[in-house]
Amino acid sequence: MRHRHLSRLAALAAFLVAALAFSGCSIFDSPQNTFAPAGEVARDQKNIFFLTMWPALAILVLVEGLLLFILLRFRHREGDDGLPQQVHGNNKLEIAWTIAPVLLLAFFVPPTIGGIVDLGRTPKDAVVVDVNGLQWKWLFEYPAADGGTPVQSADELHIPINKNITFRLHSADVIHSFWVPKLAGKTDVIPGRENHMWIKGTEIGTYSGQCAEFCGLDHARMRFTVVVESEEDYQSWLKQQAAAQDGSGQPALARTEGD
Amino acid sequence: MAGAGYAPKRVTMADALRQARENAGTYKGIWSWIGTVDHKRIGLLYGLTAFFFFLVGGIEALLIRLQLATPDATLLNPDQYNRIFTMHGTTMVFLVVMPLSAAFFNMVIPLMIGARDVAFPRMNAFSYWAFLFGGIFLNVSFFTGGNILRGELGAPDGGWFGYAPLTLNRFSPGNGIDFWMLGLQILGVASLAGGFNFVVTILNMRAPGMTLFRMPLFVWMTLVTSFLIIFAMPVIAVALFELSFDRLFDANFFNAAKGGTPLLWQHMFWLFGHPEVYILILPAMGIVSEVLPTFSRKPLFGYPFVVFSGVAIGFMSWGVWAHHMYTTGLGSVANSAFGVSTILISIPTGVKIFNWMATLWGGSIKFTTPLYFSVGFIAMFTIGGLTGVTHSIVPSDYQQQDTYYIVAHFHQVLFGGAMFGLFAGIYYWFPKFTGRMMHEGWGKLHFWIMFIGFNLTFQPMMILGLMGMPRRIQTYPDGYGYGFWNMMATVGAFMIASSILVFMYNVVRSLKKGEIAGDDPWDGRTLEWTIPSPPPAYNFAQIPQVHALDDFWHRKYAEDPKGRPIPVPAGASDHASHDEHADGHGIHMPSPSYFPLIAAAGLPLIATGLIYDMAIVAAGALVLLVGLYGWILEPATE
Repeated sequence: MRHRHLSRLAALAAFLVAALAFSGCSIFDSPQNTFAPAGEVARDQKNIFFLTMWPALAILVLVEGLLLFILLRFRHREGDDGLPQQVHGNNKLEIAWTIAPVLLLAFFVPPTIGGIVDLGRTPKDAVVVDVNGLQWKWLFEYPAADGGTPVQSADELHIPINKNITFRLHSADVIHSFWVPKLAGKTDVIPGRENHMWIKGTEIGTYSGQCAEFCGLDHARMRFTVVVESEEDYQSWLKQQAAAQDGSGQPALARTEGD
Repeated sequence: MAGAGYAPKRVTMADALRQARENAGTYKGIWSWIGTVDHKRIGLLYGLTAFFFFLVGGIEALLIRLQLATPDATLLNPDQYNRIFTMHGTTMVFLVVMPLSAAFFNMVIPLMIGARDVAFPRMNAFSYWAFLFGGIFLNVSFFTGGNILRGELGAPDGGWFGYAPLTLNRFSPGNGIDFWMLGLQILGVASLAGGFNFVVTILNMRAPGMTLFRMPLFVWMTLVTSFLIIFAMPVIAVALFELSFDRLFDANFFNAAKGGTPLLWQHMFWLFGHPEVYILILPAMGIVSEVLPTFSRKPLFGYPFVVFSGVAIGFMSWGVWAHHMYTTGLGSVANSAFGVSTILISIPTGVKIFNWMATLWGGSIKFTTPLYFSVGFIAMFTIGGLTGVTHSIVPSDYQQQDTYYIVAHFHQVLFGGAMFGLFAGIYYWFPKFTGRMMHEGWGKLHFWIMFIGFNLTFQPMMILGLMGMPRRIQTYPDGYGYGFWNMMATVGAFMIASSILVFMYNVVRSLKKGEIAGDDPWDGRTLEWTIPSPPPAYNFAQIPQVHALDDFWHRKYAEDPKGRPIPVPAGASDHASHDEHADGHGIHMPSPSYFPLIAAAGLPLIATGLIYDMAIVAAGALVLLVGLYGWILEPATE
């Protein structure tokens, strides 16, 4: 009898978790929700996370359920003064519960390595943007095709939709981390080193990004936005920025590291 | 003491010292504590001090939770917030979980292996004093930022992980980081002294007959932990020395502007930091492995497998450090290798969980408070382990790295795991060391409030992380959807805090009015339950002879061929000839000594001098030298 109760309880718990995850309920809404991707990289990362999350949740329910079952089933009962059978172990069981997780986990290795390689590559025909992290703002530079003054913008990044964008990440002071949760996971921005990452926005919109590595006093306020827009809008924004820059005579950002 | 002669003898330094040592030997008064080399008293000092810091770190946690409870809060400004979260992490790791584990090593290990003390009793005292002074030194930094009453805090502000170059003078100009890096060095010395002491104690001082594979699991886990300490602390020491050179003498180890390498810090910090995680959790695993068999009234299932999985974890903990660094751009090959090694380390951890459950299986489980906390450990640590597996999936970890998902994960391991395990140990061994039982009702109330509060605090953090909330942010704007879950976490944190009040009440109450425990209140399995509660200074009137794993259990119960236990009739046991309650007359115990304290006092002086004035360094070195010199010349027993 108790078995049936427990399995029902487990099913209910699993249902609740699933319902919560998929309800789209407003308490889960966030402009930085990693489960609501708007770009190719973030979507792949969400999918691979789900690939492990569901088995992990299943194992969790199984283990916690079994634990609860054991506690109820084998509790000391009033008046029972006898001692239980003194079992010292079982080698077959030990081998089984060593091998079984190995097999299960081996299943995760190919997608993991595949994902690492995919994210580590440099896509061809990508738009290149230099990202500069400073305490506490972001400066973005779009190198000009003719090697002239790059177009710059602060705390606002514009990218064309459905195009690979490669970022070259530089820091002028301490370590930062470049992160737009709905578009892609983060990559650290480290002084004295150039890191790379790529993204591809697949939905037009404005997305929230934030420094993800503790970088001092105003770390929490080191935010920026990414505007994913049509190619035309992107080009006209670039022209507009370039014109504004010429007018003000704003110098190109010197990418000095340290002192 | 005074002679009968009427020409009073001139009191020499040596006489004064002898007098002081005699006072200490009487086991009464404050001086007997200051000079003590008794492992039980040192263990108690460790425990009380660590618990005090637990309250300090807990108050810091509550301040963090209050600040984060609502969007755009201004209770703490960014500067205060950064210093407080840095001190919370540093305190909980170095001043709470590590020394609480050390308290258990001290109190329990000699009793479990049938020894009268540790191998190096004075080094043990030194270890405690260095820890105490290191902890005070770290916390004194709060007062160096100006007027603390106006909220001007001076504590370190670089996070417990202290990533360079944020910790260099240019980015953190006050003295906070100096106190942090030098304080951790002092604590490292304390840990190393303890580590060596327990390796030697366990290898050399076991009672006759206690082979390695007759050692209780807690002794095994202490041995593995001590080896990890011996190998891990020097790594952080080197990293901290390099940081000290950068800060104090303008070196450029981590200064990218001058060709230094910020990532070097991360490699060294995590090469220490990941074994450190297991330094924090293995002792709790050892405690749980003692508590579960006792209250299931069955031996530990698969003893050799639990031992070897612990040893395997110890070795493998050295090969996973870069999973803290996936996003630093190590490259695909390194990320793949560390992803796979992180997958692998979950296997011995899983083996342990299965064996604990199999220990409970088929038992006659007695639901005492220590059992509650041990089961809570398994339940919560399983979540910590499974979320740990998700970290090995590198591509998705690029999303979770440095978010509240990680904060949730390691609190599952270090609070849901380590702290629950340590509380199980406190309830389990309290009767042994005080002679009185803790109150079961209050104990279970403590458990339930803490268990519910814990889940309310840390499960929402998992959701917050997946919703994109980064760690270490002083606040977040409205409209990000973080307010609801953060408020829940804050309510949970205050529940945990109130459960600690219940615990403290229970301790005080039980010390006064607790039921008298007797030698063996739990029908225990290991040697500490063969001696009186509280144990006499010499522990064992006669050193026991060990014949089996769970020796004491086998003195009480024999097994028939089918594995069913039969009580051994009183007096029939071949061990009964031991007279455990002899008065211990004539047993020579190591004499008390003040020199470990003096030597340890030199360390914070040297550290203070490095920050403020080299003359104080010289004074500190002199104190250290006097302490060591006296220590060497002092006879071990009189």
